[in-house]
Amino acid sequence: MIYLTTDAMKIRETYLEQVRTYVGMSKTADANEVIRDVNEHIDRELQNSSQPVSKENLESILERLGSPRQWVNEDDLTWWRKMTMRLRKGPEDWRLAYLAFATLIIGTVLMGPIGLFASFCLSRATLSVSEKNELQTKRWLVFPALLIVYFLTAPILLFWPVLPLVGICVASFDAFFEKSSTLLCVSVFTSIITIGMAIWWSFLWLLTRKYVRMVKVLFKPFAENWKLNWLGYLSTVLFLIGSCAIVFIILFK
Amino acid sequence: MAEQFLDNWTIQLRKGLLEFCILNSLSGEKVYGYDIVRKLRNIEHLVISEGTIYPILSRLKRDGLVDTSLEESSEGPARKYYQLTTRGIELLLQMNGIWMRVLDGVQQIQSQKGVSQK
Repeated sequence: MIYLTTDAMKIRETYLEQVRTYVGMSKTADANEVIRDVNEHIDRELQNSSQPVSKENLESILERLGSPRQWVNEDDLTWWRKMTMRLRKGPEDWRLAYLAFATLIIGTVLMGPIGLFASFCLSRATLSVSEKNELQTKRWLVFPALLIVYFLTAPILLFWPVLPLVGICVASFDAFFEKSSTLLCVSVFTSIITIGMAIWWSFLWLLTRKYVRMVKVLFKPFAENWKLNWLGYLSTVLFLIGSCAIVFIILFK
Repeated sequence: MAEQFLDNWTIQLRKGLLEFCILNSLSGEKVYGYDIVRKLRNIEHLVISEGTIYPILSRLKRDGLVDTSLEESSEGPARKYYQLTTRGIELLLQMNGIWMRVLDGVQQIQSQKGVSQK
């Protein structure tokens, strides 16, 4: 039986608590087993010490054992411990990724669009500090906010002219409807909307041809492989449809 | 910069070798946990914190490479002894084979370049 001074006992208990805490974070090591081994180790080291064992004697043994904080590799931590440690200590890209996801869930519930915007900003910050090949493991944390914002903004950017074009059609509906057949009305409205959209998409296509990098930056990382010409093809198709509608109007007016 | 490089390299080397040395220390016999620490602490640069050995032993046990048994001791409470399982013995044979090949290769490079062992 090893007898320790009161101070030495407190130090020993504190040390064993640290062992329990840090080894308890490990996926693979059994904290209780390690504590038993460490206790045994301390007792063996103190076997030939004068009793009661002083704080200084005990501390020299604990110093050789080392800090339990360093006993467990990050790879060996449970996933949620790894997350907590990364939130507290970094690396920065992981910390941002966890914050982005947490802000998306909690921020959106509490603050609506502001929370979503904050999460989007954190996700973009994560992209900035992450290497391309490291993104694979973080995408589940970072992509949700990005996808939500992109899915909201991209259609608005592509299709916003539809609203004023439909407004023109609605405004001129009475004027056309009384004087023309339904088919002619439909042709006129089709030509207005398709030609209008074709003009807008052609403009976008020309703009993005000149500023490709802008598109890739705005819609990072999904626009990395974005092909320039699909907007051009679509606007061409719309021009053709609009032209057919105009030809129909001319022929059958 | 060079010092940091050396520190990082030593840490990585230690990580890989510690488990290997623990398994080798168990080769052919039952060993008391504390005695494993005493054997390995004498190898320079291998063990910085003696306590790191215990979580490794726990992990090796969970992986089925070592087994433990309690034996009565005349010097005090029962002691926990570690020994290799069959799987641990097979794995250690493979690890020793790999280690010898790596060691041969490194020594060849060193002798070609006339690198001093000191």
